[in-house]
Amino acid sequence: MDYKLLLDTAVMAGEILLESGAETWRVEDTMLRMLRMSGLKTADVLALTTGFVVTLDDPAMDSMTVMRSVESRATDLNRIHAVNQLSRDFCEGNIDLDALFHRVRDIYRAKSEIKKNLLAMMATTAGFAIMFGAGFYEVLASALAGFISGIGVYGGKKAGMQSFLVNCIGSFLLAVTSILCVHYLPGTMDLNVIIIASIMPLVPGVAITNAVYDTLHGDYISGAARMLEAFVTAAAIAIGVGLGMLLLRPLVR
Amino acid sequence: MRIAGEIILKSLGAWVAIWGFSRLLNAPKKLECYTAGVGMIGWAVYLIVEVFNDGILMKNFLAAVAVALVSQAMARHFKAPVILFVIPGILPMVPGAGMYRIVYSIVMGPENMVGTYLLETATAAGAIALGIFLGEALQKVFFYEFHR
Repeated sequence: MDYKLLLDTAVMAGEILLESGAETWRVEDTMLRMLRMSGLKTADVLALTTGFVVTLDDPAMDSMTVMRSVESRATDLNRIHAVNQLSRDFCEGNIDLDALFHRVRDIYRAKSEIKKNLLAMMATTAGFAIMFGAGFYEVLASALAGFISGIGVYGGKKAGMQSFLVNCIGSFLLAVTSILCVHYLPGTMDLNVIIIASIMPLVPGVAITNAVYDTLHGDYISGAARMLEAFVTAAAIAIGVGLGMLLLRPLVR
Repeated sequence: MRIAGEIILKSLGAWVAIWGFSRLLNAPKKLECYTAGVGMIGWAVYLIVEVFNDGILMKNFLAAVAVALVSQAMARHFKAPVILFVIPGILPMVPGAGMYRIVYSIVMGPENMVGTYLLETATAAGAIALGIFLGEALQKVFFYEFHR
């Protein structure tokens, strides 16, 4: 077996998983399973939220160690699913190393693209508004706010801004939209419900839950890193909404 | 009767919300309906528990256990990693709004609410994580016994 190729494949798989927001234990587990197929004496992985180190060693050869750091992370369930499927096939012996390498490389090269999915954004915010028991006009206003903030978020990402700034812009836009909606649309509406429903796509709920989950799993470093990530994201959103509120203070009753 | 109707309506809302969110998270196309279904079941359990017990801990915990069990079953059926169903599933009850409220009250006030929100959010996040943890453990204990 070509150990170098195996190591490269495992590293690519790990990078995809980490970029797609998989848990660190899954990253470690997937890479270890692949590397153990080599039958070498030592195969070990240390994955953190921001990168990983992986090593492959045997008395009969020089040890190989690779380090990678991962800069951007966004949840992409499809890529996690694809890599998981491939590693499962490989470990059950359904595909050989060459096939695995080429397929993993295909996923790796097809970088997760920025999807303009404004319809999904609207469905999410409107759905959350219904979930929180909002009235008809409030649901409409949330859908509109989700749409507008979606435009801001995608525009920001396209321009290559930091995620902190992107979240600020998105939440600023949604705050302005919902304040205007409450002011100009007929009927009495609760501004709080609309804002809470429309920040849901941006808000770090999964991050904070994963932080606790990772900590329970014994991954203390990842847990702490995710917790910090959650607070920074929440700060960006609060600043954006706060700015919108300050700007349109006369309209807020 | 009114409460039942409200629960059904809100659960349908959860389905719509999680369908959209699954799109945003780029879930596999053919599984979108099911991930949304997991979210709907979780929120329904949450609302039903809320009728009997108003505490934050219980409703989040039981809903998370339900999500974990349903997700495990679906993951087994579709041969997909559990995380694919768990993340969309917990989205309805996940304390994202709480995180926002904490920082918002730090930035804009009133500052004396920060502690309350912090405690609420930590409790909810802890309860959900614990619920998923327990759901996984339960499933491992029982399912493997049955199918050996």
